Order: sequence, then C-alpha cells, then structure tokens
Amino acid sequence: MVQLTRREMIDRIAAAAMAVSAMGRSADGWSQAADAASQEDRRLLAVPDFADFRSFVRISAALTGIDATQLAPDSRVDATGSPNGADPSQAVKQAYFNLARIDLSAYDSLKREFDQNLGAGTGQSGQQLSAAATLLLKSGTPGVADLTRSIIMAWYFGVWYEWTFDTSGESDPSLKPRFTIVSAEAYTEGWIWRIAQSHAPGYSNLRFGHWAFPPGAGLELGVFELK
Amino acid sequence: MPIGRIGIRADGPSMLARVAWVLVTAVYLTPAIVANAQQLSTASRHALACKKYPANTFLSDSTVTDQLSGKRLPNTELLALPCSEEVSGAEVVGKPNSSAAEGSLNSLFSRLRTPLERFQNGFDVYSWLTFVALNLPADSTSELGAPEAPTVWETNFYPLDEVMHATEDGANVNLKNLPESCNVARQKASGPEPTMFVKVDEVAFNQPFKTGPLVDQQGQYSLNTIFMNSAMQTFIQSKNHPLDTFHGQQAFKGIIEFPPGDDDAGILGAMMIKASWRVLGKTDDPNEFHTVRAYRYFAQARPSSCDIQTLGLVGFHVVHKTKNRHQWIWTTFEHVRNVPSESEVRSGQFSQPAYFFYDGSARAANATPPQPWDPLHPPAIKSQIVRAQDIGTDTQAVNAAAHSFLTRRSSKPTFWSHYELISTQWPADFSCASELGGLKTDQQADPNCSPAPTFLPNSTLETYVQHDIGTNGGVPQATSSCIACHNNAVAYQDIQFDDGKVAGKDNPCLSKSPTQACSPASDFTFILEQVCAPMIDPHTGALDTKICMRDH
Repeated sequence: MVQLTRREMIDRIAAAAMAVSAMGRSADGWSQAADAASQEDRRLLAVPDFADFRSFVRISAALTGIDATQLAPDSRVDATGSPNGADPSQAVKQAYFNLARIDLSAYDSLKREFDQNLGAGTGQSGQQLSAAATLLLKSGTPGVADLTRSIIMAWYFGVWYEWTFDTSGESDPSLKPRFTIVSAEAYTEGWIWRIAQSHAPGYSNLRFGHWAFPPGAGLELGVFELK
Repeated sequence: MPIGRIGIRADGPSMLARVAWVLVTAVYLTPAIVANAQQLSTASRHALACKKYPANTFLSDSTVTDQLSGKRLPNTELLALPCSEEVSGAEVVGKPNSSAAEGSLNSLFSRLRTPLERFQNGFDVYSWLTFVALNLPADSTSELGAPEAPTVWETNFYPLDEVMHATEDGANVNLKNLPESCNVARQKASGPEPTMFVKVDEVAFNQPFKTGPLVDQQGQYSLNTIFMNSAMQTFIQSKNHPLDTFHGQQAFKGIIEFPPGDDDAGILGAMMIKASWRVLGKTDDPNEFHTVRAYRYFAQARPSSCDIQTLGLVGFHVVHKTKNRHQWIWTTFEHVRNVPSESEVRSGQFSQPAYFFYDGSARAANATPPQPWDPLHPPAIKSQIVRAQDIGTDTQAVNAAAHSFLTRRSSKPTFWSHYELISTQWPADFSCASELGGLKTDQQADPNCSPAPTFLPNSTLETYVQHDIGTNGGVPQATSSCIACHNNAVAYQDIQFDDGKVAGKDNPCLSKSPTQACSPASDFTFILEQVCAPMIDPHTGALDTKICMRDH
C-alpha cells in the first residue's frame, strides 16, 4: 500500500483536476478523476477529517431529500460508531465529493449560496434546507446550477454529468450532456433503485421469488423527512 | 444429454464385480478394520459450547488466555466459540487486561480509523478467535498444532455427505459407509486410520460457477470439503420437516431460517465450514500444514477407485449466522504460501520463497484450465494464480499479532502461524441485518444489507472470480462476494400454498401466513441444493429420479 500524507493526496486530486481541465473535460478525464478518488487514494480518504465531506453530505441531503445518515453513514458528526453499522460504499461517495470539487470556484460558490439561501441562524428544518437547495438550481453564478444538477444525478444514478449541458438540447446532439459512470459500484448504488425498490439494469440483489412479497413501503430507507 | 447422464450415473461396479467384492471382503477384510473405521466415523459429535466475549476480544485477551491455560472438562472444548460477534465501531482508548491496550492492536480501533474500519477490525479479531477455537485439537491431551490431531471442527461438525441425501433411494457413500474400493485401499495402506472422506466430484474440485479446478505445482487438483455444525444438521434433518431430501424440501412450507447464534441465550447457532486441501507430495513438508489422512474416492472411474492421501489445509471458510447478522458472517483464511499478490508479482518482491499455485513464470494469471477437467487425469498445465487484491494493512496487523500470540504460546513453531486471515465479510447495515422493524430479508431493498468489504475472494476457493478487484474495485455480480452470491441460494421448495394459489400479488404471503415461504430462498447456503433433485426426461417429460440435477 502506498502511504501518502493528506497533503500529497490533495495534491494528487488537484493534479487530476488539472489533467481533466487540460483534456477539455472529456469523459475519459472525468473517469480518471473518479478513479484517482476511488481507488489509489481510497485508504487515505478514509482518514476521519470529515469536516468538508460532512458539509457536502449535508448539502446533498437537502438536494436529494435523503437523510444524511442514509446517504453516508460514516459521515455522522459524532463518528463514534453506531448501532446502525457503517458504510462500505464510502469510497463511492467520496468520489462524488471529489468530482464536485474539481472546479473549486463553482463548488465554493455553491456552498456559500446554500448558506446564504438558508439564512444564518434561521433554522435547519427539512423544509428550509430543501428550499435553500432548490434555489441553487436557479443560481446565476457560473457553474452553480449545473453543479447542483450533477450532484443530484450522481447520488441518484451513480453518474457524473459534465457541467455545461443543456437539458433542452434534444434536437441538437452536440448539446446533449456528456457523462461518465463513476464506477461499477456507483452504478449499482444509485438511490433511484433503492427508492423504487428495483435494481439497476443487469444487476440485482433481490432474491428469486421476491415479487411474491409485499414491498417494504420504503420504511427502511430513512427518506429525508420534511418538517 | 442422455449419454452424459448415463456416464455420470453409472458410478458403481458391475454386478459381477460386486459379487467378487463380497467374496474378497469375506475372506480378507478383517473385522478389526471395519470396526475401527466405524468407531472413528461415529465418534461422539456434540454441540459446541459458546460464550459471550467482550467487544473486540482478541486471542491475547485474558478472557481467552484464561481458558487456554485452564483444565478442560469432559465433553467441552478448551476454548469456547463466540456465540455471536461482539464488535464495536466506537473508538477504543485502551482495554484493561488486554495486550491490545499495550500493543499495536489498540491503534486498529483508534480515532485514526473510520467507524467502518473499526468495525472491520472487530470482525477480523472475531475471525481469529473463531479460527483458533475451531482448530484446537479435539483431544484434550494434544497441544494446538499437534501433527494430524483432529480438530474440534473435524470431530464435531458433520460432513456434507453425512447429512444431505445424494440419492433419494439409497445411502451415501461416506466415512461411515465406505465404498468397496476404499476398504480395499485401507487394507493395503499403512499408517493411521483416515479421518476424512472426499468424494472427488464437482463439489470437491470445481470452483464456483463451474470455472474449473485449481491445480497445484505438482499437478494435483485441490480438494474442497464442506462441513456443518450440529445446529445446521439438526435443522436440516428435522423429523418434522426434513430438508435432506428433494421430496422433504418440496413438502416444507415454512421459511428456511437456520438458528442464529445468540450471546444472551448462549446459543452458537448455525455454522458451516468449507475447507480446501492440497494432496501433499514427497517434496512437501507436512510440518508446514494442518494435515489429515483422507480417502480420495473417484466414483466416476471405471471401476470406481479410491486411495488414501495426506491432505494439507490451504483454505478455510467459516460462516456463522448470528442474531444480528442474518446475512451471516463470512471469514476466510489461507495458507501463506498459496499465491503471491498481484502487487508482489508486479514488484518482483515476494514474501515467500515459493508458492503452491504459482510458479514464478510470466504465464497469464488466474486463467481457467483447459478442458477436460478430469481429476483422474489432471492436465499438464498447472494453475498460475495470484491474489488480485492485497490483504488489507489492518488485517495484516491482526495476522501478525495472531501469529505472534501463537508462537509465544507454543513450545515449538506451530504450523498455524502459516495461516493468515484474508478478511471477514459482514453486513454493514445493522438495522437491515438484524431485521429490525419486522421487515424480513426478502422485503429489504437490499437483502444483502451492504456487505463489507463489498468483495472477498479466497484464492483457493474463489480462484477464478477475482475479476478486477485489485485494479478496479471489483465488478458487481461477477467478482466474488460471499453474501451477494449466497443470497441467490435456493432449495427445491414448492412454494404454492395449500389453497392452490401461487404466492403473489393476490395471495400476499406475509399478511396471511407469516411463516409460509413465498420464495425458495435457502438462507444463504447452497447446501440444500445438494439433494438429488430429479431431472426431467427429455423424451417422456417425466421426472427421472435416478438422475440428479446437481450433477449437471
């Protein structure tokens, strides 16, 4: 195992980001960035300096409507262990985190605007968080609205979309969003499948005969509750 | 194909040979040998005791060492198995009366680890505790590591072929009911009585998903054996709902749920073992292995043949169902000399001077051997296997501490130090795994409850399904995952209800009959598929009870 300091790791991510920029953000470039985050540096990323990551998970919970403890159980603030177990898909989620930070300027703007939308000290109810997140999709700051969409899509589908896509571009193929599947594990971990109580095409954990059982009604999903 | 079936099915000697064998037996086979074999094979098996251990208990903790230094009572083991895992993801500062507080293990539970890593390390120390408790000699007068001393599990667990009925209408051949050719082999052989019987069939030599045999550098197939504890055997051979035959499984309407281990109730619960072995040759040093003397029975030979070999343990799965881990806990060990890791091969820096399943050449690694796969005529090509993913650094630290403990405890070097934990897979979503809230496994959005690590192969038992795990993190549903694969295990249950309706939307089984099965899921074990399920004759459409689906 290659041992890296946190500083070296950050440098590597930065280098990966620069490489992606130099490649014009090709799909391969994104894929390489995801690989750098999810494989070689996986061990170091697990070091429990979670402050930045927790912030990302908090915004993600507001954007997706899924509780932060469900999105990333290991990002709990107490981090002292929980009877609800741990998170073996942590590397996937940290890959999303690292992808979101490739353009640090846009990411910092997103964080700042989220806090501004929320309003300092005015409460953190589900409804307020959701409203603050929704406003991000209408942000006029370059990159913020697209980054917001990409973060939502990543959690739900395990797919990272490039930031400059136009969802109305059906008639012009050149305007269709370019995307990359973050990893094989991310593909199966998309929240859309759990919420629909279904599975990603070509992959299923569900047992033979599962169709004979009444669905679990989503009760165990811990879906973000609006207060 | 019918011809193939006939070829596989005709596994006994001809009638003429049977008559000849009866005569030979009557004249030559001494009653003493028969009695001896029966005595060994029917040695009293008993349910193993277990106890509740403090969280993250390691071998060197006083709760373990006190037992090991104590005097054993009759019919009890020197070291009790853990009834259940007691693991914690909480940060540990120090543990009183524990070497973990003084040594390197303490760091494995420190704040420098995530909860996931601390839990993983807790499961790994549980695995070593279980491994040593199972592999202590059953004979109280023998030390840990005494050569050829039958272990606790070999003595008290039930081999697959003594539980599942391989045929509907006849008794299995096994250690209790030796085939004729093995009696002959025993008569000719010198040395101790064999204590294991291996029928060299698909289960014994073919890797999962029929990916082929593992061939060592001496050209011998590795052999796999499956055992279960009395909790599993009792459940399967229940008088009320026998699951050891095809028809018994068809008639069973309940949900197949093996009993779980429970600390509070002091119950061990269901436990199964799959072990892989090498046939030791003249160039092998038996002091490097845990060994057994075993019959190797080739049922498909014409006539069937049998020999007696010394087998060396090279791989060891232990699987334990517990109250809070309904997906079971999957522990896997290997001999350190099995294979190098891919990173060792890449760097050219090897931790061992030689390997059993790797020859140092530049041949492509982890390729399935060419057909035909005939254990009687192993191919000239030897396996070239590497471990696709390194053993985790924390697991390596646990291994080092365990080896140090074993070395300190023994008066001489013990071969158990040649075995290392690869990892332990466990369901990481605890509320899901304990089925809290009344949701059964079949209702969970993910019945596997988030296995950690996501993938886990043993290089001798999942040799050819290590896909991409070292380079790309593994491929879902392709790279070996104990829980995800065994989640697909089923029995031959007829899941239609008594009222004739098929379970489904109009007949919601949980609301009407909470104990009735709506799917034939067999609780994460493929053992139940080892009954002889009849094939459908392609010409007549009728069930042919003489041909087993298992053999195809």
